[in-house]
Amino acid sequence: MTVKKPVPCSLYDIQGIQEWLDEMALQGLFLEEFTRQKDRAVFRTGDPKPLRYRLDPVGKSKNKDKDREEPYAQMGWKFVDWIPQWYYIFSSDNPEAPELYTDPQSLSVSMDHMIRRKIKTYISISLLWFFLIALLIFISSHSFLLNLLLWGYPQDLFYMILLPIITVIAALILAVNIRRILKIRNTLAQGLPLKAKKRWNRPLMLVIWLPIYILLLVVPRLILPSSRWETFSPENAALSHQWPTIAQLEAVAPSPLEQEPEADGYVRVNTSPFAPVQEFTYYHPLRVPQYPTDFSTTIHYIQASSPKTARWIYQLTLEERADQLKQWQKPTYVSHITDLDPFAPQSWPGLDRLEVASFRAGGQRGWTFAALRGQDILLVSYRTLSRWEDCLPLFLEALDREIIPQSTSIN
Amino acid sequence: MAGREKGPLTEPMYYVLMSFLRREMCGTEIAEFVEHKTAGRVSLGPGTLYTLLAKFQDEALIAETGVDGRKRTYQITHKGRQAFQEELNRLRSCVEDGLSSLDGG
Repeated sequence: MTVKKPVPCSLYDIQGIQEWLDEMALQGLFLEEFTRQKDRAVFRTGDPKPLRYRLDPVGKSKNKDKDREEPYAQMGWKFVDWIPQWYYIFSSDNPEAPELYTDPQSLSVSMDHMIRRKIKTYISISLLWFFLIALLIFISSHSFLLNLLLWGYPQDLFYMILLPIITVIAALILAVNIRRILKIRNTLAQGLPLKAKKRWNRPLMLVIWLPIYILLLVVPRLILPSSRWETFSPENAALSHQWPTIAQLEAVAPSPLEQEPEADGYVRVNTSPFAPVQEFTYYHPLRVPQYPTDFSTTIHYIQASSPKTARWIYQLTLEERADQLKQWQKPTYVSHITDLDPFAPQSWPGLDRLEVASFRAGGQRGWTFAALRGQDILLVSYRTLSRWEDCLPLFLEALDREIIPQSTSIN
Repeated sequence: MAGREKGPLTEPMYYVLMSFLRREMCGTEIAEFVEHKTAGRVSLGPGTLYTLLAKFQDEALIAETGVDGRKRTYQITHKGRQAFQEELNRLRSCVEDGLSSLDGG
């Protein structure tokens, strides 16, 4: 019959593990193996008897280590199991057999390879992890900074901030472990025997790690919303500005519409403390004869807390939209665009910045402009026959007439 | 040229090197030699013995001369003899210093 027991000491505590295994033997539990996770040991039950268990640090070559089994056995020490990357475990029931290591210095020498390998592994893991985090930050820096300012996805923001903090903490823990193992080696090199450390209570470890896990991974999900965007139907959304309608925009086109088409759409609002955002998308699903496809307009309006913040958000939003337009050129994209003429700066009286991109979508011409005026950022995408130069004044007029919004969420 | 640059030998190191002065030896023979030579005062555990043999090989103080199955034999090198001689001289000086101090010198 076998019994599984949690290992009550750290793998750095050589003396602690040895003493624990010796005690288990006196209770009739004889080590069979350590689990793959190295946190539990499997014991075979039998009649209690005194047995010495000793740890032999893993050496440079597995083959050379294997060669030691026979001479060890001749000197009274039988191989039991090994803990990969750490130790071979030998046991002896012969009280006459000399200790596996009869002097601390030779055990210190024996630990050299294991220590070097551990340091190399820890440094490699740390560098790889730092590289991955740096890559992640580099790739998502735009969306991260926008998220930081617009506060649209608090959970993502929390984890993006948490990740580097955890990385630093993990690196510190690895550094502490390296220091710990070097200290053990130095103690032995001075000829001093090792002392067993205080054993831990496994449930106590659960008491420590479980709350940390809950605090970092569960609580944020319960407290922080995944998205702060609220969605409204156009009727229920009281927008801060009365943006031009499709008929108004098409009035400046070569073939003006006779009446306002029935439009459908939605409004998304994010009340960021730095820069509240309103995104109004409306479209006319029924085709009008003179147009090859339906209308689709998206008005993205951000009112930043200051002109400086606005300039920052404007640049980030512009770059994000430029990337999106590039992505939309892929034929696999549902509403892919062609003939993209990327964002180019334009000058317009009263605007701090203006950039315009044009494209074709579904056989119809379209354009996107990004405009910055003081604290206001306006990003408009429209598939139309109208020219952006004719539509822009309508939006600027609307921008001058601010109204106090009061919305009812449809979420 | 110094035989060993890494400081004084520990007692087990000293006796392991000593065991090779007359002839080639394998691990178990070394353990028996040390036990016998020191009248049981110094005993070598297998971990200690094979760790020291590997270390001496790395430092070129001994060289492997034969492998018979898993039994390996070694002999001392010129560098190993020098290292042993240096340690012997050091110990001799220590003993002489101690004795002369006792004699009131």
